[in-house]
Amino acid sequence: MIGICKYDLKEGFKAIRVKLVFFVVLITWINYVTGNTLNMQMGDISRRATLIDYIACVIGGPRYIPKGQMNSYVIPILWLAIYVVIAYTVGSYPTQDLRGYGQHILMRSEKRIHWWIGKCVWNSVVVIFMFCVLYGMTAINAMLHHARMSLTPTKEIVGLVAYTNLENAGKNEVAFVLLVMPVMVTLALSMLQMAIELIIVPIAGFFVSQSIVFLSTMYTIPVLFVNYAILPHNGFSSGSSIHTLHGPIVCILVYAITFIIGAVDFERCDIR
Amino acid sequence: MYVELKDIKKTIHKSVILEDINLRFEGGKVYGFKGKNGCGKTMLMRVICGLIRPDEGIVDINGDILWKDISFPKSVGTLIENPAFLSGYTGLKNLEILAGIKGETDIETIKEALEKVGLNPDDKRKYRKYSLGMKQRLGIACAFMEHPDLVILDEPINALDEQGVVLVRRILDELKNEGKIIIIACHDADEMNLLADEIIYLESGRIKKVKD
Repeated sequence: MIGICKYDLKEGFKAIRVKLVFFVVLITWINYVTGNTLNMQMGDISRRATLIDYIACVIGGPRYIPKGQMNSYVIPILWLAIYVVIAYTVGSYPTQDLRGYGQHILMRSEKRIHWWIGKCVWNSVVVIFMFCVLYGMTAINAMLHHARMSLTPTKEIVGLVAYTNLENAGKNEVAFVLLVMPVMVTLALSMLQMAIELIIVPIAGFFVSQSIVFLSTMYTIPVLFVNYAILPHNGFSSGSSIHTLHGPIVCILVYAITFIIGAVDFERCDIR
Repeated sequence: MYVELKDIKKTIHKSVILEDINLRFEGGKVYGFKGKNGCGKTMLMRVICGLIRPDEGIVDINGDILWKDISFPKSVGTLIENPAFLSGYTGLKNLEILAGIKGETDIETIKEALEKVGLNPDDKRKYRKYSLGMKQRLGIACAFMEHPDLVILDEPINALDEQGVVLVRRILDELKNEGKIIIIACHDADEMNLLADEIIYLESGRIKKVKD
């Protein structure tokens, strides 16, 4: 069990190293755009910007669309790109590792569940690592722009650049939605993607996970659970049915259910 | 040590791949699968390895039922279809990684296995630089390096030169004398007659005949 986890962490990271470089380039670009946007749109107010303001600009998500106003929808390309690249990065290794050399590994893992757990650990570690990179690089960008290293949002900045009304937001709620929920949502999403990849085909997993992400930018309903990581879609900002405290429960449920379904299916599937 | 297959049947996309397979393999013997391409040799090997789940029937490995008591045979070494390794590592490193999963085989044993198949353990060349014959030798070393009770080799003499074929014969002899079960598939009829104690002829997924 420990042997297979070690193998997955080492070889799995090696297998996606080029994709990780691409992710770093993407985050650098997004941070460059964010820095410019803050300075250009906010003028003098941008001098009051804090670290959480920068994070809100990068990962806060698209604006809320009230019912019947779909014509105001603008595709949040940079925000979507983060989720697409994460899904693309974690997407292929588990299924690729079921061929050739991976079959030797599988047979030595003694139990199929060990292999599945190894892949789940790898998947989750990669997601956490990618968010550490994202937050780390955003913090560097904020420092370069002389922002205060504080998690207290500036209402004017978050209101204008991240389309979020913070009048009803709890003290730590914004930090939780921006720092914890994107990680939890992506962990659940990546598990769902990996399980579907194994059960059906790799492209199906990618398609389902990214459909949830894309639809979440348009519709503010809890079943599209990526909404829990979108700051402007939160109940405190838009009056929607997305409540911060429900987010972790939904994510843990999705994670646990897909883990079980994946384990049960992998226990019975043919490896050709 | 024994492996017993009882009434194995496997269907894929409504086409019968294996049917009515009843076999018993005993330790200290080499068993050969023979038959045309697509007759089910590799599929049967995969069933024994636990990679393919039969629709019907039982695979009994020394009292443990595959898919019920165990996911894979507890002690198995395989070379099925083409050898496949990580291209960016040396042969030694590839085997070291595999041995690290169970953690029961030390580096000296791995080096011995490489020497047995005629590969230099200190060779710094990456796997991608290996010739076909070297890849095949590495695949064979991988199959027996952990001293498994059950060794399954699909076309073990593929891409090997005469010296390599002699080495394979010697290795199989050694494994047989150690009481292991060896299952091979081989297209070369003369080589099969030489290597196998018992030949199982397969046709369209069924056992046609068994010859001692």
